[in-house]
Amino acid sequence: MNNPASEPSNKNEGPSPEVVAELVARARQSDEDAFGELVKLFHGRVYGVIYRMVSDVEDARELEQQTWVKAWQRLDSYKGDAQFFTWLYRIAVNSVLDHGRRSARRKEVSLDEEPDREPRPAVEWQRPDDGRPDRGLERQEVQEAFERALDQLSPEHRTALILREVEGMSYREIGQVMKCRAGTVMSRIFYARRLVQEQMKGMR
Amino acid sequence: MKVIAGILFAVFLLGVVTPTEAAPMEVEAMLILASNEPAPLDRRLERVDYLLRPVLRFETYRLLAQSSVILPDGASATVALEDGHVLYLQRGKKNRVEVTWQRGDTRLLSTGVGLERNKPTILGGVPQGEGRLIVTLMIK
Amino acid sequence: MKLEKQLEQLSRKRDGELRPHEAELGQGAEHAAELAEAERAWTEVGELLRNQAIPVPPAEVVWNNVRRELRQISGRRPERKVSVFDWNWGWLAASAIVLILLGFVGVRLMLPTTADAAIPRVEWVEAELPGSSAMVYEDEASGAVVIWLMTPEEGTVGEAGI
Repeated sequence: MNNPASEPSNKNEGPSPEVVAELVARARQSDEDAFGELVKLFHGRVYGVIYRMVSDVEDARELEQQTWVKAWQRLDSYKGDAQFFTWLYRIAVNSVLDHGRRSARRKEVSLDEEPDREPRPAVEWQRPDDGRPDRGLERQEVQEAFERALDQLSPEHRTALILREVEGMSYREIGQVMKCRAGTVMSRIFYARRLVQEQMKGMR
Repeated sequence: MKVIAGILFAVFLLGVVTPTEAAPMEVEAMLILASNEPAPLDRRLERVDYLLRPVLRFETYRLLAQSSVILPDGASATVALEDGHVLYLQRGKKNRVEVTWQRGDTRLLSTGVGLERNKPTILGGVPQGEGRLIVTLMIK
Repeated sequence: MKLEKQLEQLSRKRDGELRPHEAELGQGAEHAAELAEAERAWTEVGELLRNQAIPVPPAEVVWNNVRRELRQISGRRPERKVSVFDWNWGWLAASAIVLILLGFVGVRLMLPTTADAAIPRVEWVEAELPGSSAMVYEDEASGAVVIWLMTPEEGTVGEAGI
């Protein structure tokens, strides 16, 4: 395997596997405090993935809560064969995809209308803008174009891209989370990159 | 007495909800070239691109022609698309439509299909160059 | 090598998923400009994703909400057992009649007629191009129906994910 050209930031961060294994074991014995520790340890990452998938604060909070409740209820099914966060992300991702499908069924989206252009929560640009307002504006435009491009992706393509770029997961791990083959993951990530690239052309 | 009145009212309700004749529907047809050749994304397909990609794994989709037609109950219509491609539509009961897709005098595909709002019907697979031609049918 | 193939390899290379022998193939790429542009754009995509400012709620708040819900779930008492002798048979009979009538009306309103219900979305297909055959696929997630023509010279349509 070659070294990735750019390593996502979150890879290898977090608690040691021993600590997690011990907390999981205690939580399986109905130790609420241990489960609370797991929530606190993984909350940021779980919420981050969900938020990036749904781009809505309220939905993200609700779906994260659902994820933790389901995780508590299904702790017995965690065999320890995959990393705990992989198992957890599977629950989170499925919750989000199910939520998307339910919403799609509920929402009468007319194919004749323009794609949804509802205002999304403001996303701040985190880099310094060198004190130049014009540059800040330019970055804001890039960020908005990026958000629109992400909207063009199917939930599956978007999820694969997020898990790779943000969480630094391998194709195999993403496949475990999304219940698909590594080849499918590869194809989804490749397409997602190309589509976003294409959609953002002219922003330079 | 009250029970009998209630039953009569219920029977009346059942009579009221008998289905009526289907309203005219507007069908939009798009002729699309799907291929794996690199090409810029066709922004005119924004509305359907997202629906096509999950089921067809082509890399690029290019809109060749687009047309709409209003189909009253039981009516038929001809939709002329690009490059001699023509669709003959015959509406049956409710949203059911018989479709014949021809290129010039050559019949390519015929089908009887129920069209549903927000659920595209995709006819495809006709080879063209390096790609395949697709026709999408949607209720507007 | 085709640009498309090189781009696909570049994508895998970025992810550390390229096999060693493939790495050789990518050397001296003939589409250097396009590959460089893709590299730059994809790096930016990754940065934009990672740099999204995410309003993360405090962990304590999340855990408190989760704990409250867990306790609600586990704290639900079983419903009080009611003896059949306590039932008001008059009301029960009246409710049953109303429910049956409502159900009948509801079914009539909401369901398609029996004839429609029996008809599949695609009733019939004829592949009319000589030597071709047709395949029908319904995608559950999107509700899209695909009627795909398969031509003899090319066999099945490998590109289609159906």
